[in-house]
Amino acid sequence: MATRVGANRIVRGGQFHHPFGKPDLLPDEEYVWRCKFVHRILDALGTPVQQPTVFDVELEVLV
Amino acid sequence: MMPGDFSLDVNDFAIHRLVFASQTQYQHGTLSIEREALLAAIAEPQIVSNIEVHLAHPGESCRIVHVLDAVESMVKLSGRSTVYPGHFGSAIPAGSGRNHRLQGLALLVSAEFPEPTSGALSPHESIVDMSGPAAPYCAFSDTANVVLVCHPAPSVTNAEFDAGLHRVKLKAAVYLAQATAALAPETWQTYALTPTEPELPRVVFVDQLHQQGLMAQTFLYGKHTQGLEPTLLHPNEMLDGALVNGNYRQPGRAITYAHSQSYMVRELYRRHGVDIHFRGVVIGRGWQETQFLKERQGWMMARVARLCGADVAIITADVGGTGGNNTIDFMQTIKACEHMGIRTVAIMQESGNPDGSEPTVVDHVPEADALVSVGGIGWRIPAAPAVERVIGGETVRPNLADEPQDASGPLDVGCWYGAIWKRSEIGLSAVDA
Amino acid sequence: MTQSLRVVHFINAFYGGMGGEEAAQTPVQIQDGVAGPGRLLAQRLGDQAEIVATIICGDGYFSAYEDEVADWVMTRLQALRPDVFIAGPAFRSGRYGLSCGRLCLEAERAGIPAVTGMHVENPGSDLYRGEHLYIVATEASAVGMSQAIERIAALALKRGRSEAIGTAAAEGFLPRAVRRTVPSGRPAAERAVEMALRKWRQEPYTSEITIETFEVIPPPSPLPDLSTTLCAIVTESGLVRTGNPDRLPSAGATHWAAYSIAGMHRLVPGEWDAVHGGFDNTAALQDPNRVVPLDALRDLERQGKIGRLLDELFVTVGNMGSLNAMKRIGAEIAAVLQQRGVGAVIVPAT
Repeated sequence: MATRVGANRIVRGGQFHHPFGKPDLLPDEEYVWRCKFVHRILDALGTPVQQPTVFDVELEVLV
Repeated sequence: MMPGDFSLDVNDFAIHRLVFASQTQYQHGTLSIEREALLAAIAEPQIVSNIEVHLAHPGESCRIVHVLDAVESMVKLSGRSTVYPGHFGSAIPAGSGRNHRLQGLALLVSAEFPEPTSGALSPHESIVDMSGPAAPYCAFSDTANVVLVCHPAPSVTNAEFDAGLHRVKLKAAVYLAQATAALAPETWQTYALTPTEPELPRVVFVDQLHQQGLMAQTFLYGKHTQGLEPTLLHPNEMLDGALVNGNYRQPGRAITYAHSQSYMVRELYRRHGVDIHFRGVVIGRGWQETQFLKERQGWMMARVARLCGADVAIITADVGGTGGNNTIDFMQTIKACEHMGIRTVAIMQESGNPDGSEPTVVDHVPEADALVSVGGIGWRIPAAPAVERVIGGETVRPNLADEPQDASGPLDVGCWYGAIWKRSEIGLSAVDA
Repeated sequence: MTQSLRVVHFINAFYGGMGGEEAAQTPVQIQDGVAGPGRLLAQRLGDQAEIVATIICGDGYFSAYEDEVADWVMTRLQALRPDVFIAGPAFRSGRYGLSCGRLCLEAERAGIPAVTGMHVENPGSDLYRGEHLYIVATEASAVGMSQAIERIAALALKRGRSEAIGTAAAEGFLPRAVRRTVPSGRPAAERAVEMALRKWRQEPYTSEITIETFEVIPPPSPLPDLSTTLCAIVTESGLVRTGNPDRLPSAGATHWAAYSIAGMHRLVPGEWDAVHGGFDNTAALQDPNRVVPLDALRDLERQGKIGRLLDELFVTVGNMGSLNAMKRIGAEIAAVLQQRGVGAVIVPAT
């Protein structure tokens, strides 16, 4: 949807009812994941793009 | 003539006048019709109890109502197969040989179905005026018309009656043209896709057919197109009537006559070898039932077009009409062709209200960047005055929800027959205003 | 000789000669006769029409008090009963375009024909064309004043006299979401093949139907130094202060709200409601940071990875929002962010 509307920098995160959340994780783990997500946002803001571009957040399984 | 060729000679006999007489014959532009012989040739006594035969000419104060279809009168005198292949014996590939055609004549079928219908698959009122302010905007106001008003036999179902009507109209179309069988033609033309200069763009005409079920269907070589996967037709197969209309839903749109006299086939043939190479016709059915199938339809049309080497596709649906969720299939076809490297132009009507202030395209893809408009269907065709003679019934119901009104009285309606096809011919369009 | 039409003209404070950005807060006011570009407009109208009054308002003031200003203007228009209301031209100035559009819409609804002018990329054009307003197409800047005034005047006279209006192309206004069926003079098949050949040869062609879809927005260049950038959070998730004080609806929103996040390190559950009707709000209520990641963003702020977070959170509800309403909301919020010097926006979307 976001690419169709023309948003140029799109960071793909969690499900739509909690884009910045991973309720399956423990709260501490979830917070760490969310921090990774916002770091990805910084990457996106600093990257030149020509058209709507999706940036994915790499999910690392925390031990 | 080689076996398997697709070269068609069409010999035309101009019709200016129709009369009833003691013998069916053609002379100097007049077709005399022996009523009893015609009825004997087309009878379907188990299905159609009574057929009235009426004649109507352009300029008469005459209105034809409950029109279901109009058919070209033609007959194949030599060559493979028949006209309207699949309806007269085996479905042998048509598009070759020699036809005689009555030019300027249309065979109209007018009838009401015996069983009640409801919802999407119901026949809609369709009206032709032979004169007056609405005539320029409906089809067959400019042809000499033989109108068959058919009444169902007792206990006949809608499906049986529909099948009977197809047989009746096609037999009548052939019978009338047969009056010229022994005559030398006035004019003739050979249709063949001759070799062209290699640098001319290869153009396909992509046509999305109407297929939803009984009352809203199209026949290809005698079989309805419910399960049709996109396929290739030689334009001569179109000229020979390979597509027969069984769609009574939308008075503005599909007509057997409009398939065999397709404006797109005629234009592309006219320019074949001049500035284009006419590659062929890709047909498929619209009104696919799910989003997956609609997208799939687009890709399946595009792959056939690509496989026959198309550089360019000109796309229509329902003879220039689109609307409802059928627009999605249409747009998916445009999108898929573009993604397969084919440049597209699409001809479509615009929806919306009479003053044009509502959105006129219900679905769109960014790839649909070259569109030809035939105007807004909401645009009001001028009201028609009362007429002296009505063929086909005493009352009309312009909308299914309306009460019946007097067929001979003044009419301010939106159900003029073949209106979209007519707009394509007369060049209506729409602009931002 | 036809009677001279009465015209009321609306301009912003800048064009009223009151100054630059500092004059943007000028409250709405009215004066007799012409001001600013109204002089050129009056010349073009000649003796066919008279500008009886000019209404002036600062862009910032209009933006902050839009409804009140609209009411104020309508009261004056109802008293003056002009034959035509003219606004602008706004060229590419966004806030000015929005105010011209709003006032023209109000005038039309009160039965007063209205004409304005702006550049096709003015956010006001995008938004108000869908309302069928007559917006003359202008250049991006006042370099095009003369041509803009000429077309506005011509169109205003026709509208004032209820004369037939030509096509958008002929009269020079932007497509206004109205289509007129007209004869083209050539069969569709011919036009289709002509267009196809042009397209195939990569020659310019004009589609007969142009769908207003989402405009292509050229991506801004990446920010060179985020550590000095002021960042704002704008969300359509419908996250509001408990009790929904601004009454954001759960669907079909037509307005937005701003909530202070000054001094907050994270969003505290219980202090926020989620009113977006398009998704299950449970996870968001348990921890609002799942929808607006304030905790993680404050982290970035502390680390110096971003300059600063704006102290306000901007919120609307994206559920079943009309395209036009969302365009307006976006334009209004963008105008505020621009004012505040925001360089980057994070848009949590559901």
